[in-house]
Amino acid sequence: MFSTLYQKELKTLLYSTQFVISFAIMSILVLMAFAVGIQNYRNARTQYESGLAEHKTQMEQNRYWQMVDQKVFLPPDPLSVLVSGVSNDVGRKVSLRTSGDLVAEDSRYGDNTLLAIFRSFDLEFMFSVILTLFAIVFTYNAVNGEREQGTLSLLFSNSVPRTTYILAKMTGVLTALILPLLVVILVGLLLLPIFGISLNGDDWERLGLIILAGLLHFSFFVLIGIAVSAVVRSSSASFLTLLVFWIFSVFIVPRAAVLIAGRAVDVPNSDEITAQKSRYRIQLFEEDRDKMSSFQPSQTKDMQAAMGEFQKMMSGLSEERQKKVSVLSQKLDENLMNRERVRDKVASMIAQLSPTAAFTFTVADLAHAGLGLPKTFLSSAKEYKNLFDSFISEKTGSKTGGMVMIFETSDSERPTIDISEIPVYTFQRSNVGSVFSKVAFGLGILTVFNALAFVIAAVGFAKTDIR
Amino acid sequence: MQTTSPVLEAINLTKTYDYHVTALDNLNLSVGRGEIYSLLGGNGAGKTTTMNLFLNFIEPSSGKAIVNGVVTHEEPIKAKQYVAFVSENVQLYGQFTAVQNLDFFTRIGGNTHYTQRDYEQVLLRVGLQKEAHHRKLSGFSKGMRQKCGIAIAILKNTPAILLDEPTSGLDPKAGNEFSRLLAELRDEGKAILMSTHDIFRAKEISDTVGIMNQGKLVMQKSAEELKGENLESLYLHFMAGYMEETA
Repeated sequence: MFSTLYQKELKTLLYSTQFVISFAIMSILVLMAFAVGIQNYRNARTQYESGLAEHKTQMEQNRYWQMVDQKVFLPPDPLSVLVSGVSNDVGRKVSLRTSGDLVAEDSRYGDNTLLAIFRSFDLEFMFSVILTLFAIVFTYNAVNGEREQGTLSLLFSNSVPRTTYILAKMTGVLTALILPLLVVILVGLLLLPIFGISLNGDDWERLGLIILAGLLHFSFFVLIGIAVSAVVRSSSASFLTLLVFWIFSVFIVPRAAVLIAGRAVDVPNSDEITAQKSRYRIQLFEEDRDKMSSFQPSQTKDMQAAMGEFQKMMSGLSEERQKKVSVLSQKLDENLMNRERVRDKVASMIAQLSPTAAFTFTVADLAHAGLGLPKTFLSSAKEYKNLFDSFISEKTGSKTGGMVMIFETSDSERPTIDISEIPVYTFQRSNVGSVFSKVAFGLGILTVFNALAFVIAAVGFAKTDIR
Repeated sequence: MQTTSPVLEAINLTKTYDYHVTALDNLNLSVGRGEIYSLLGGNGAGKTTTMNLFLNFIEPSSGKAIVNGVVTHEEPIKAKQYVAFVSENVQLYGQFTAVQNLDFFTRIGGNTHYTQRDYEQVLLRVGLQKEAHHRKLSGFSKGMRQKCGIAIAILKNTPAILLDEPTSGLDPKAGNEFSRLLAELRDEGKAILMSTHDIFRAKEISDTVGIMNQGKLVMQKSAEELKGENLESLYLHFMAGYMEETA
């Protein structure tokens, strides 16, 4: 009985012209998302490599270690082919030549404002917006359509248990929609090695989980479509109901969550904090100005020695100022971070009332493009800055940043520095285990949503009038 | 003519909806093996409600509908093993061919032993031309779909058949073919309960005729009793009588 009904569901969908056309469009869009993702990744890779090369060229021209303006670059992630997350919003380079806060500059959306308006066309967008819409189109009349058509009453004039029918309906529709989709995704994945995008073991694990999350999200919309069509009597009413649900799930709830969390948790403005730090820095500098102007070298005849003495004093003052600024910065940053953390937590908790938000958070974390990426990049840059500062201190006896004055007394050409001595910066990406709890939570939420839709469909159909 | 214990039986069958709307009021009828029972009545008389109760699409407010000794609302799955149904407007899956539809519905009905040849033979028996057997249902006329519906009922091979206004909208030729088929099925021993507006066909093929009005069975006569009577006049008489009573 189950097998007969299951096969009927498969055939009904697969034989329909609507399925053939929709699936063709869906396949083209999924493959296009892969193609666009691959192209974007390759562009980002080229940009990253040319940025590194240009930086290297500039560095090679330096003749003084004090003048080195070291920058670190965020390498593009191969998984950004599928999920761009916040990676396009995050600045791709950080200049370490500062005594203040490190700032990531040159985000992709900053370069291309048009892209910022329309956002990315990636697999995450496909799964969260396009495929959910397809799921609704395929299922809004799954049960009530049969009632309206008249086949339901003929079917239930036979000894068909309602649970068997609805189970066969759900599994049949899921199989008919998910298997072809999976084939298209696999074809898309084949494009990755063909276009020279290499993934390591961890990437493949993440990729598998991204696809699993995508399929769970898709299956939820399929099941909720069947559930609504089982509960709502007319197919036009169920289509409207699902459309409203889709709009709320995909667009309203995630955005409302950000708004509500923003209102609920008072987070100081980051510009305000930067200005506060800057004012304090200026105030300290003003306090030191008298000391600088009253500087008297102990040896007035040896210019080089006098300069060295001045430099040392300046370094000492700068270091003192830096310490004081650091104490304030740390306090302000900590406060900001704590409040931001609470706000983000509130926002993500509210947002996860929507399966689409749960899916987006999960896949962004899996693709190294979650909310933590900007902080991860900056803390990695800070960590490297400490290493770099120590290196420069060893080389020059003074720290990086601040004011540097160099007097060249000889006409002879000074040799350029050997930049191969500079410690190499590598952006260490975390392995999948580090996001396990977040991902497990996201996948768990999606599974719960699926179970909920399943129960609504089963219970709703058990009570429905099949006439 | 009822010769054995009834296959279809309604005992004090009543269906009341919200706001005290009585769709069916204390119906008692029985249909035995090899008998055709026609229910006549206007729209809203309770004919389709009776069918729905026999199929357990709805539950009775009181009384019971029995199919082959099984009370439908108590054991619906079991009861449906003994009954086949042909609706007023048979709707099958448009993407499937006639044979594929037959295959699906007979399997659902619990018969998995039929071959493609069996399907084709039944389709020929109900008068569906051979070239239509492997055509998709989406292009079929109402008459052709009705033929497929009766073919499904034949293949289900149950002791009882319910027909809800099966000839409505059929041309006279198709209607005659339908009557011939019903007579054959009666001869095979099926108990047939048919609701219809077609007074002439009802008189022509029925063993018993019942007239319903406002949820009540207001007249029931055997073919023997109807001999020499004008069924149309009786119908109009009972309908008018009840209309006057309720006025």
